[in-house]
Amino acid sequence: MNKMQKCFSKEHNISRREWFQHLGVVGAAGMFSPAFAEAIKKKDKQVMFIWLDGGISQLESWDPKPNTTFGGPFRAIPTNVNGIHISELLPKTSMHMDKMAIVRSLSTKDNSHSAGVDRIQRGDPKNRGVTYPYIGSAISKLMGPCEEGMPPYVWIKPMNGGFISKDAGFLGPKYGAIAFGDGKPPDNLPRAQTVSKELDDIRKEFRAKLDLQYRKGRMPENSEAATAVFDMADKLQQRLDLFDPANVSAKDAERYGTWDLGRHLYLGRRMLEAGVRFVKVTSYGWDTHGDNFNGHLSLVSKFDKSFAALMDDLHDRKMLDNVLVIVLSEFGRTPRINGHHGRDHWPEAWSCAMAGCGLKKGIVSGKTNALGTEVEGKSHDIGSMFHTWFSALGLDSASLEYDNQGQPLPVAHEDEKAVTEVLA
Amino acid sequence: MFLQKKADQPAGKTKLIKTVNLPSQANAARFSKDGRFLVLGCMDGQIRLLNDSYEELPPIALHHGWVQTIDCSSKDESFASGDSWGGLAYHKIQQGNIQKVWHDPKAHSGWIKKIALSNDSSTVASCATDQMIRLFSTKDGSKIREWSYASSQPMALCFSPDDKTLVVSDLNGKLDEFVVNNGEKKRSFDASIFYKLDRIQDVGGVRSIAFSPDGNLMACGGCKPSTGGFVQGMTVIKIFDWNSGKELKTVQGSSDNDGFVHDLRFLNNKELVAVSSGQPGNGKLFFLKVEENQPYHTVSNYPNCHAVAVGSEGKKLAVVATNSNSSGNGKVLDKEKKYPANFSPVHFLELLS
Repeated sequence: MNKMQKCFSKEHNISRREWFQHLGVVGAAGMFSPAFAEAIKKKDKQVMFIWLDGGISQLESWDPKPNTTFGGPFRAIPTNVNGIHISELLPKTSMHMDKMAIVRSLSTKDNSHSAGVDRIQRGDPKNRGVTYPYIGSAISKLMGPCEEGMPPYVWIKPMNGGFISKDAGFLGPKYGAIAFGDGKPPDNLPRAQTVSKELDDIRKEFRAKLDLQYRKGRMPENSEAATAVFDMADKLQQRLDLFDPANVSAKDAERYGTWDLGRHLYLGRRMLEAGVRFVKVTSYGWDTHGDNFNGHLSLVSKFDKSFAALMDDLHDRKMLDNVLVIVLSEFGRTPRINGHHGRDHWPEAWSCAMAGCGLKKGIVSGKTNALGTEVEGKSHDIGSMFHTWFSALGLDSASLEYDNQGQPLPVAHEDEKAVTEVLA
Repeated sequence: MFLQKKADQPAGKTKLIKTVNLPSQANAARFSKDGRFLVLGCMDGQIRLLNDSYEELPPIALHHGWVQTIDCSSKDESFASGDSWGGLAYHKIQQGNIQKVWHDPKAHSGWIKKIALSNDSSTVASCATDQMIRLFSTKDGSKIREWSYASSQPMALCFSPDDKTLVVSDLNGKLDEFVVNNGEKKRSFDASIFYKLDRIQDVGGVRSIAFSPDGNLMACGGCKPSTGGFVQGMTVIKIFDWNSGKELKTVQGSSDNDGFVHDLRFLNNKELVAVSSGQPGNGKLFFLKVEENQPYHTVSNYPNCHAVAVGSEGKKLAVVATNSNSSGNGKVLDKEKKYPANFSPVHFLELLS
């Protein structure tokens, strides 16, 4: 079904309503019930999704194999949880292991970036001829904005920003991400000095009327998206302080690091505090096909400092009770060390690190073999992680369904199950 | 280890004598003083020695992680080795037998990137990711001196010809000369071409340093990085007049795929040999005259070279390369349906006049 296609048939809408009224599926009905929505809202669960684009090496981070054929030059170090070791490149993070949960049994399908980035962030559901939403858009749809009314899904990233509608897939552009390129607010966000508050209000009212006019007889997705973007801008106009570098103390700048990942994780924390439901922070440049070990020495050391500062703050502010933290890439990196001393793409056996709400603390689930070339025991595809994250956020992913213009769709791969070992 | 039945035959300046495939990838190689032994530092934590019949002696397995760096004495039959877990060792070769003199598994708290023996072989210097420069007595392994190199990440070091100073190179494209007796910095050399900050990755570094036999020239190698991640970049060698500190020339390759000059050695006062490794399948062995701006001889059929050793007074070379087809996304299996590790072919070459 083409989601952009205009459909003027009222019968179609009626039949959808009837379908909902008569549907016996608890999840689909439950998802849209006011009581269910209210229950979710009260919890105000939030997500910090840290995307290390290109693929962090599991062997130089969460699943080291020191002194083995493919182990590389680095050691494993103990953490503050007995028996759990991670790479020596993560000394600060190792002191937060008692708050973390690591899954070492990821085994996914795609070893190319072009397929992997999308499929991992969309949860790689069964192919039903529709484009599933990224996890950020999914949470935005399923949980909506937090009480503060801030945009539900923001993406803090290097380079350009803007409104990224493609993340939303079949949910429609309303559920896309608002991206803060280089951690800055969108261009022209501040109200022009020549426009008074009163004049701005009049303009908004006029725009709302035009929106209503435009909506008549049209599929709502595009007009809803436009309205949502204006509403987001309105909210963000009230929180321009979040973006002001003058509000970053020298101490915080030092703790998080001055590189973009550090600055963006700091801004991400501020966004969570301001009431953003889902914050994605992307760091690029992790595709270390060459000089992997010097590369990870530089990259992971910086990640370690920034991530540990974030964990310090979330812990100190008791935010880990409500915030789910996820660290992920599109895949791991090959055990085999190539001639350029790099590691290539490796979806076969890799790791995801997490912390926060709904998860056990200080736990490792899953295991790879001695050389890190295979998962030993049960492996987990990305669909399992989607179930895990939804469960951690209090969503019943086994029964919840999306409504794609009448087509009920599971929110996560129905053949996969949550990694229950890490769920609280 | 097994001998390769048939090896490529480069034309011109070199003649291939033998190729020996190691069971592991190797990071470093140096000939013993008399040229009878090639000492190799390997990624499986072992030191391997090949004798002049190209046979492997029993490997030495006292290191951890990678044996990253090797240096052989120019005064006697001894060698030092450093590993990525901070271990340092010193061995003597006596009548074909290897004897450990000492081993300090905690010489550093980080990855030892390079060691260098003084010209009089009394001292081994080391630099590591713990950002410390340390000097140890070769006699008993006792620490003679140390100083912090906290301003940057050291990558390589080399004693000056008179052993009075030590040159340390770093990730950010700088070489610093330190006085051995007190650790004071004497002067610096600019090599910023070797560094790039790409997104949040510090890329590059001065990977190798060598002095000419007469002590008048210092050369250093690395690459001019254009990207992080894949780490593409052109090979670069810089040559300095040691006495004046003046840069004499920068010799730059032409392909972004050739990558780092991982090792370079002077053959005599006017020529040097270097090896490079870049994108898998790329990298070269090449020869450069100090008065010229381009290599006068290049051998391209040894991919991903990580070390070159010069023996028998400049008549013999050993080049540590990497097997072909060393890269690939996903679980690339070999003919026996096994997931293979890569290895280093060691090419022994005779230099033709």
